[in-house]
Parts: sequence; structure tokens; C-alpha cells
Amino acid sequence: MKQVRKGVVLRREDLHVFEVDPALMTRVPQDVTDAEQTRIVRNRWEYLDWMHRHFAHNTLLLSAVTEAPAHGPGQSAH
Amino acid sequence: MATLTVPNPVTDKAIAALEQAIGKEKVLTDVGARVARTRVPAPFPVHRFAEHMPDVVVLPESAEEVSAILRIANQYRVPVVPRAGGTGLADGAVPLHKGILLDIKKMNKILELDLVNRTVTVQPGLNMLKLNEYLAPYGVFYPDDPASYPVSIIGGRIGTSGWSLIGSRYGHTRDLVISLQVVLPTGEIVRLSDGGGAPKVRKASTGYNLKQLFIGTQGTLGVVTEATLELFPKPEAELAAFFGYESFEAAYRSTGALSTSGLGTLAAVILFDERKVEYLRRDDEAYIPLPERIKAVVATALYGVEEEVRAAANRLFKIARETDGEYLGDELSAGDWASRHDRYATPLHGRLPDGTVVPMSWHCEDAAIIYSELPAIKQKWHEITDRYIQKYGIFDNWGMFFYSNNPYKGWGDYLVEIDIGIWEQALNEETWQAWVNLKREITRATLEHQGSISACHGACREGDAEFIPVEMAEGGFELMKRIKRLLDPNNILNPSKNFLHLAYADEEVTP
Repeated sequence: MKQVRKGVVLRREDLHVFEVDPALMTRVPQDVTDAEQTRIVRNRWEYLDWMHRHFAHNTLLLSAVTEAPAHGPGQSAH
Repeated sequence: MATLTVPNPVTDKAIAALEQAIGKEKVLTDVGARVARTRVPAPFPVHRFAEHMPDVVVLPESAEEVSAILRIANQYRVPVVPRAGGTGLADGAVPLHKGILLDIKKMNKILELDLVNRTVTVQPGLNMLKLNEYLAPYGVFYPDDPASYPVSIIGGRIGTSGWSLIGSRYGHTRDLVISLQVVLPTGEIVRLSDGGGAPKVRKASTGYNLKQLFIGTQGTLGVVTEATLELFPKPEAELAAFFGYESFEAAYRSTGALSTSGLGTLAAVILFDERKVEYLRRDDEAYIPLPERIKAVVATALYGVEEEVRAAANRLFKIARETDGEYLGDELSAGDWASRHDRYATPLHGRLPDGTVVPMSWHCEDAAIIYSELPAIKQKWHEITDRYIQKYGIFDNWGMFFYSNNPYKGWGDYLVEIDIGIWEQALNEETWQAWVNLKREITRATLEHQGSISACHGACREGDAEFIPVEMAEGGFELMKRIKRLLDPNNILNPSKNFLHLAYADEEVTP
């Protein structure tokens, strides 16, 4: 777990999972296992992919259509 | 004529009449059924929950059953509150005087698909996502897209005159409804379209355009029991592009340039202010890694035929670069855009002034404001909100969005949204009144800047509703009152909503 900015920690680099700093979660503590977190993240991506297909036959990316960079500031490939 | 300014309770006799009219299995009196239909997700005075709980829930399946319910309500002089998905954020479906809760969710049939004339006729209890799943094999699409898309219902969209995320390309709910079947408060069933009565004609000049009168009434003038809707080809392509800016002022100017680009496939332009970006950097995985130099964001989305979308994307990128925008990348753009169709899946929490996390409900202020006034309204709304946060400590400022609001085009007016978290568990009468006063100050600022109180949810809540007569001061509210009294002589349909108890203020009260 790594502090990335005030009040935010990086919990899972592999899945791009950030969390509120546990020190701020004392009123509503959460205990999510790694397996459960993996399931939630993967389901979320699957859901968003489904949403794209639901609204259009094809999702285009700006970097594929123009000279825009694929990765924005602060982003890395996942 | 005797009317109800203090409505009657629902008696056992009235319940027996309902059971006889529509069947016992469609009349629910248990506490669970009533509690589940008392509130909506918007901030709610939980310490006064019981005041809003309906006496009985009815689940009709046809216009004839709705008609029978309304006739019984008139006979016993009891209120009826229509409810669809219960996802509205302005309390349209929240009973103010208990009464009969008319839940339309069992009226969820698709009645006719006309691919030749590009219409679909449905009952109002159907959800848009389910409708589009049905339509997908035919290559057509019903493009009404609220933030509650997976869970909200067509009848509620019509009742609130809903706003659609992609409305700048396809129009909003009111633009997508071709004709309606409505049950009037007294029980008559009528068919209304764009003038005349032809159910599939989009543009007519025959008679009054009565259809629009019944869109956005919050269930105060009638219950929609059937709707014929517009169909579009399912888009070949979508493309979302999010851009970052080093100041709000730059992002605001870019928003103006992008929204007036004239691109026919442009479906949305959304401006995020500094406080929204700050909030997202705190709580949203897509925005947490953004460098500090990014202070504001503009989101855009294109839909249409692939060749058109590709060409438009190049123009969009050029405009954004020329106005100091920095592309935020494919992952953020595509992922955030997809999630915007479903904002109700977000687990809601906020921060107390010391940064501690507590569960909070979501208030979404939704005024309609013209472009020139956006910077000033932003400053005022934040000043008001921050003052109340400082004094009471149970609210949290989640920043502001400015969404293109004009159907079929991006320019002109914007749905201006400030999101505020409210720690409901800490509410009492004093803090609830503080909340209402905060809303009143926001509403006054809206009116001072030539805005309208609501772009999409309605102006039903305390803090909004009392300003409807102010916004419509040039005769509009007087006309609303006359129409309400004409169509609902006994004031049974969603009474007191939209401040329309004033329509009966000079009448004799018969409890």
C-alpha cells in the first residue's frame, strides 16, 4: 500500500486500485479481500465494455483516429 | 366546489373498493411495500419518514385499471401519487400527504414495434435499457439516456421531462415522445400527440399541442399509460474524448468553442470545474493519477455513422488543442464515458471537514443556465455551499458539472449541477432546515442569473417549489393553477406538488 496523494493510497498496482487512506475510514471501516477486489474490478470493466456495445456497434478511440496520444498525463498501460 | 387542501386518509372502505376494482393481489398495504415507496435517492428528512409513507400501494396493469383507481380516489377524496422507477432526484414521487401510491412498474409491455415508420409503442413501466435490449436485433435504438439509465423507467422520464446525456445529438425525453395515452385525474382516458390525434405523426398543426402539456407534470395532471416513441438507427460508432485544462477559464472558453462547432454527431459537451476535478482526484481511480496542473476538464462524445464520427473526431481534437486542451487518454475517456450511463451504481460517501469518511446521500442541483452566466453562477453556488459546510459540518461539496442542455445542438444553455453530499444520519430538524435554506439561496442565485430552477429533475422539493411562482411570475404560474383546477377539480393527483396547493387556496376545505 503506497500513499499517492493526501488521503489516497494505491492498494493494487496490478489492477489500478486506489483507496481512501484507511486512517480516514475509522467510522466506516471496510475489509475487502484481494479476491473480492479482483472480482469487483474485473466485473466493472466487463460492465463498462458491455455499456459501450449497448450504445454503439463500435467504440472508437481518439488515438486511433487522430494523432492524439493513447495515454494521457499520469496514465500508464494496464 | 369542495376540494382537498388537507387530504383525507385512505379508509378501509376505499381499500376495499380498490381491491374490488383491480384485484386484491395488486393492492398492497404491508409496511414493507409502503416503506420501499416512501422516498427517492435524493436527500430526505429521515427524521420525518412517517409523514411521507403512503397508506396503500396499487400496481395496475392497464389504462382501465388506472382509470378505476383515479375514480375511486375522487369518490373518497384521497391523494394518488404516481411512481415509476423512484430514481428521480426532486421528490416528484414522494407523497406529501400519504394516500394511494400508484406504482406503474407492472405496466411494462412493449405493445407495437413499427420498423417501417420507426416507432415503438410501450407501456410506461418499461426501463430504457430493457427496451434497447429488445430493439438491438432490429438495428434500432431509443436514445433516452439519463444517469440512471439501467434503473429508471419511461413513465418517470415523461413525468419529469427528463434530460438525456446524449440529448444534444438525439433530443431529450420530450423530443423523443411522439404521442401519449393519458388517464386524466377524473378517470377519462385520452390520446394526445403533436396536435391532432395521429399517434405516429411527429409534426402536426391540427389543434393544440397537448402532448407537451403532459410531459414534465410530475404526475400532477394525469397518469401516462402508453407512449409511442421515436427510434433511431443504433449508432455505428461512438467516440468519447476528455480534455484537461490548466484553468477553469480556459476550459470554459473551450466548452464554448466545442459546443458551437456545428458538428452534427456531437452528442454532449460537459465541463468539470476545479472543485469537481479536486473531488475526483480524491475519490475516482481514473482521476487520481492526473497531475496537479490539470484544474478543469471538458468531456465530449460523438455518435453516428462511422465515417462521420471519424471526421468529427479530427475537428474536435483540433478545436480542443487550439483552445489549450490536453487529451486525457483513451482509458480515461472511454471508461469514464461508459460509466456516465450509470451514475447510480456509485457507492456514495463524503467527507466531514476533518477528512473523515461517512456515508452520504447525493444532492444534485440541476438548474438550466445560459452560457454567459456559467462563471458567475459557479462562484455564487460554491460560496453558498461552503458557508453552510463551515457552519454545520454535515455537508460536502463534490464540485460542479455543466452539461450541454439544448436538444439537437450543443450551444446555448447548460444543465448546471452542483453535487453536495449530505450525512443523513446526522440530520435533525435544525440541520434539515439549514439544508433547505442552502437550497433556497442556490435557487435565488439561479433566478438572479436568468436561469430556470431545474433542467431535468423538476422543482418539487422544498427550497425549489416555493420559487416556481417567482420564476413563472409573468402569468405562467397563474395559468398552471387554472389548468390544474380544471383537470383535477378534487385535487387528488399528487397534491401540493409543484406548489400547486395554491391552485385551491380560495376553495372551501373539506377534510
